[in-house]
Amino acid sequence: MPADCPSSAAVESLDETQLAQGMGAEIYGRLRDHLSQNDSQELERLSDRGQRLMRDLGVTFALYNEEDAADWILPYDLFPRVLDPETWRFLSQGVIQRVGVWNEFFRDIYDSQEALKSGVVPFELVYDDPGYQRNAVGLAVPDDTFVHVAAFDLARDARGRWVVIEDYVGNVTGVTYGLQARAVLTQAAPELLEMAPVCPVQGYPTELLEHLRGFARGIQEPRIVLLSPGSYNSAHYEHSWLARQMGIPLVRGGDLIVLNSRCYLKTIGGIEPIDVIYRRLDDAFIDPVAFRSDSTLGVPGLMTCVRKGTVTIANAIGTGLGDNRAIGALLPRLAKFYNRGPLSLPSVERRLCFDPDQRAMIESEPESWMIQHVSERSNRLVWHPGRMEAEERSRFLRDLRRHPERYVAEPILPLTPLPTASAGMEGRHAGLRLFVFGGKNPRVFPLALTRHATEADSRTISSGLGGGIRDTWILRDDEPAPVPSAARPVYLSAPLQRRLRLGSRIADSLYWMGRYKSRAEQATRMLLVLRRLQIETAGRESADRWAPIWAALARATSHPTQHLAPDAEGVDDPSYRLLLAPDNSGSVARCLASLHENSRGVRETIPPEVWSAVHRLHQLCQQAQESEDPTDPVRLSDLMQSLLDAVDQLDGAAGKNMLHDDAWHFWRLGQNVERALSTTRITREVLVKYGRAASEHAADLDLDALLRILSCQYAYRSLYQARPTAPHVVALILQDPALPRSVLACLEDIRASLATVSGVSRQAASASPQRSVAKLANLVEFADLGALFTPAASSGPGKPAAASGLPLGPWLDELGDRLSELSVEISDHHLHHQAFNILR
Amino acid sequence: MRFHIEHTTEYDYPDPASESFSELRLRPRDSLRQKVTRHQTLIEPGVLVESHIDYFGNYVETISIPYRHQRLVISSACEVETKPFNDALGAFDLTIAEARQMYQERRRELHDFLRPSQYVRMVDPVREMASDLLPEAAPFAESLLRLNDHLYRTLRYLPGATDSGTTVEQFLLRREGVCQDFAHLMIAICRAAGLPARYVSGYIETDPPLGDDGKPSEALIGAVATHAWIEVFTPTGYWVGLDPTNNMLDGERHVQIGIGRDYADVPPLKGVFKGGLAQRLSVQVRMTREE
Repeated sequence: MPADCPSSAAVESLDETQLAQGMGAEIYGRLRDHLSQNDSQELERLSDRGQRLMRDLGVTFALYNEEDAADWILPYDLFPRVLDPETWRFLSQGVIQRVGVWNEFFRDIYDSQEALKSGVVPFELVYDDPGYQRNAVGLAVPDDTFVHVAAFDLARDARGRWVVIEDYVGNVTGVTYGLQARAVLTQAAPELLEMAPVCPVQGYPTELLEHLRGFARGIQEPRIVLLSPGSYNSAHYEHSWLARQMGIPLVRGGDLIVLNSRCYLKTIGGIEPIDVIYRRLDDAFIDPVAFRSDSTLGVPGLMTCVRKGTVTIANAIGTGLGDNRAIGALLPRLAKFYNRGPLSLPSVERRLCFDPDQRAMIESEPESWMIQHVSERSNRLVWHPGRMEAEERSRFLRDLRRHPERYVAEPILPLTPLPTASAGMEGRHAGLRLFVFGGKNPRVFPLALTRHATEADSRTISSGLGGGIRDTWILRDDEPAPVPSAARPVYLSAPLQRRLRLGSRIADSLYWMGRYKSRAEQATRMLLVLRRLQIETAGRESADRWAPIWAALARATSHPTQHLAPDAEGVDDPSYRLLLAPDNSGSVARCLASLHENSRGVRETIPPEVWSAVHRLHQLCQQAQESEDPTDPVRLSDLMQSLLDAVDQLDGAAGKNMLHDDAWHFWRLGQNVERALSTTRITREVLVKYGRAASEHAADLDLDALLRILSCQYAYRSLYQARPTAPHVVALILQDPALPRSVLACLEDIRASLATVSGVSRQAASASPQRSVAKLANLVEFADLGALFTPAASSGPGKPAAASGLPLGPWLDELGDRLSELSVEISDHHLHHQAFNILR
Repeated sequence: MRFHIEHTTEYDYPDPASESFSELRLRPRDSLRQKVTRHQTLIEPGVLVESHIDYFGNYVETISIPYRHQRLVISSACEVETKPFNDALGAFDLTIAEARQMYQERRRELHDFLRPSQYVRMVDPVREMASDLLPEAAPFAESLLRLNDHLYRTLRYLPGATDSGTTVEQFLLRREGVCQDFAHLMIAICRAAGLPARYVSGYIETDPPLGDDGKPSEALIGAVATHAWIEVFTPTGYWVGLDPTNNMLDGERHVQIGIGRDYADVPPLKGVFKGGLAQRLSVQVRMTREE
């Protein structure tokens, strides 16, 4: 570090480009010259381009308590931070030393607690912190490593020296934003990157994966997953991006299951043991039995696996204690205590309010401190007495006196500004975050995150509060790195043998996406056909001619029949109720909402084209529901047509863009199961229950309606070239392998999909869904339809055959039941793992 | 005394349960006062039972039933021998202030038992009771016995009056509750007065065998299932048990399962499962004295 530190007054007025020296100063100069050449319009154009790329890359951060949280795009700036090689080496060594001290601290706290016994850290600080996990005391962790990944926020103090203002040794976030900041710059202004020898960053995910692999207790091809709190978490973007880049499954608590102290991932091929969990879920939520019982995010029993050492959790359970800023403040003392000091990169001079002397210092001039909660990392728990009104300040100081253990105070640091292109090259306060790999041989990767405030004079750099990001250039020189910067590279000559199969939750979502899509499609088509029939036959048939068919269809789509009763206004047309009515839990709109919700949960695994098609379907219904007169028949008719078109688009997008892999097969399975079921039920309701003569001569109109509802009237005509008869219609609908929605065709498709996805399944063939589907296909294919249309013996001659007297009804009922059972079997074997035999 | 204890818990799930994972704290701990000579836990449906010792030294068993089931039966059977502890509080001739002074040396080890915990909140009424009933100048042993007696007399034991989530404040308002509430309140008062106190979960022999004269000896109050009482740390370095529900020191008829800061640390059963919320639970404890 430069020996001639500027005076504090001087630092206040300087920005990073002025504090930089040597190579850094030179590059800053070039950047400033280059960007200043552009007039303000050109600069704005470039900045807009950066911002657009952020949107295209989907660099989002979900803001809590914000309405449209999912779509917040971080502000981006083109002007990078530059760290010269000397500064980088100094900072790297500082953070490496620091991560070592933290690791030593956890090793001690979760074992013999020497630091507490000797009083280096007041024991109250640890014992009263909710981050101290009593459950983890005495548990060994692989390689004695607690902190596998860490990050540190740095800033310059009043004398221009770098200090650590925040330690992240539990759940570490932000690395993705650092990586994307480079990706955006590379595309938006590649000419800038040509100005300097900048270390490349794109290898980070591979490094992280290789690093994690090193903690798998010697397992050759360890199975690693990223455990996330789910898609509503503010860092979901980062979790899904990292998992995809590392090529490992992104899982939630419910995707894992613990059995006899071993943790497994539920996959479509059965449950598969997991060796390393890279978790982004806090300790308190990770095991609802060992920790918070109200948590639904975790894995019940995970602690038993940790206890037996069958799984490595990174970072280790209990590291959440590192969020305690008072402990962070004591790190220099701990460094000496563990013989690792003195720290070359000190902590900010943080004051502990529970210490009466330190508190007195804060109370004497409260305006010069920034006060934070001792361990809550929420950026809303920050107080600036200097900015408070007198009354508010005295109220705050009263609370601080009453609960001093809750607060720590820090001097307000300069957060030295960086020139900012999107603000006409004016300075904006900025912070720096460095990422470290902990372990036996800790190291850094030449990647950092620079965040800046978007408003002049603001120090709000947090992404959650609207701060922006920019690239950080770590410059190369010819000197060898002081510490190895790379993990042991792993090269495999062949694809992994122990590759994890598709996770059951994802398969389940795709399965239900298929089912909801088909259900919505079928219901919409039925409505459209019936409305047309009603119009075509107006005058010839009385309006209530169609009532039984409406009712039959409602029943076939599991609607309560009251949805078809005329409402108070005398509206007879049930379209609105079946399509949109908010109180109808089986409406098309609800189906599409469920389709949307299921897709959202697996958004990172489906092609964006499929997601937008799903989104469009959902939007069509939402817009219709919000329109002025949602019951208007013309609008409803338009809506139905738009929905059917949008469904075709979805099918097209899926067929064209989805890999035809296991995921695809579950999407197909869902569609085929739903189709087979609805075809069976509709046929049964129309022909048996309400057909006027459920005999060979069922009314032409009913048969015609049925063919049109199932969109197979042309198929029928080309096959029979005659008026429809019930046995022929049924033969077509059930048994024709060429008709895509015949029950037999659906079953054959299901059979093919199951054969593919069960390829490596361990289940006993005796009770597998494959066997059931084969039996069902046989049943349908070889059914003697003639016998089904022969009235039961009881209906003697002279008596007209009662509809229910035909064997067709019970036969179709049974087929429907067995199709439902098949659906349960598929779930049990591939999705929920409830089949007893596969778990034993 | 030697006891044979059978503790059976049965869950019936009208909608099948699955992915069930539970921690059981049912095996009595070994201590100076009691020795477990035999213990066995049986689970139906049959699954592997694993065990470990927790932070507070309690014996914990874990079970995992991933597949669908409509019934879960947990039966724990054990043989325990208890020893008398005569005159546990007799030897102390010091005040509460002096006792507190003597804890200083062990402040770190005792910290958990001096601080508020999930169920033990030091609310204002608790602090008032602490300064009334355990004033600094009062004699240590006598005051504790008086506190035990006071709670026994002013609060009513009423099964079903409260549930496992009842707080100290709620109990003070209702003035009726079960052994768990008595224990939490007494712990809160002790801690508020600076005396380390912890929660004990265990069994109590409520109906003793008939004596030689054909009359039963004194019957004790206890839950149908498990019982709860407290322990206070003495200045000479051991824990002494007080049972406010029965207004007595713990004796040979008390069998400890486990200890903790409060109920949350030693629930006999803690678990999660997937399935419908409706479940029928029946618990049966049989405690028989063996001569």
